[in-house]
Amino acid sequence: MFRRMRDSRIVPVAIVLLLVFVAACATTPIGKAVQSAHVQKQIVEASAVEFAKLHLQGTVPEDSYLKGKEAYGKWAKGEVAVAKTLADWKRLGDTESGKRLSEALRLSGDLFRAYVDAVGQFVDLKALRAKIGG
Amino acid sequence: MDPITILTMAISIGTTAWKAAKAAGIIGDPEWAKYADAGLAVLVKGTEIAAKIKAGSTDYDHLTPDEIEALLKPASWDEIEARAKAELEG
Repeated sequence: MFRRMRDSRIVPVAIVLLLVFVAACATTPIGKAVQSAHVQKQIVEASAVEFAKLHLQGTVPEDSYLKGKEAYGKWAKGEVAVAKTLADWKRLGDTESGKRLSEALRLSGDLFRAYVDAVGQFVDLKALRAKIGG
Repeated sequence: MDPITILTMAISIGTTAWKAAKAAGIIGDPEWAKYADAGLAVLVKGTEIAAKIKAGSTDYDHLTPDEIEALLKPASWDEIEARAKAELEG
């Protein structure tokens, strides 16, 4: 239990550090934004699979599982919005599309944190990091 | 700052100085200049390739809008559960 609690505190910090690190790899603002969103997607999907596996193994209670599933669904909608606004920004590149992208990224950040809160305490950080390769 | 970024900046500054010197007639157009141009082109291409390798297999800077939407499309929860079952069974 202590190990899980310790890992759950590390998860958000490690994820933010990983996102900052990989965001430095692309060279253009749009490239960096797409790369960050892609890494976040890989982290969320990998952790969701781990979460579902733990539920199948009986480690995650039903109510926690439903909360995690709901948080994933909300994050997924936010990710679709980010993808659409990023694509629009790439197509148009105007101020209005930039504003819509900023708003979508802000909302996505909130949904991502809510997802980590719901799932982070159950997910094995070491296995997750091994999957992402971070 | 990582080596690739430093190299990219150095090549950019060198290229600008080289072009400016040629345009100003400081260098003129000697025989060796074409070899220098070719060497510079190889360096620029090499740095671009190194930067792409560093960024991973996906060239995030040059994705089309449709490719961005496809890349970022999240898996459904059914797909997540199917992956979880497959991993447990595998």
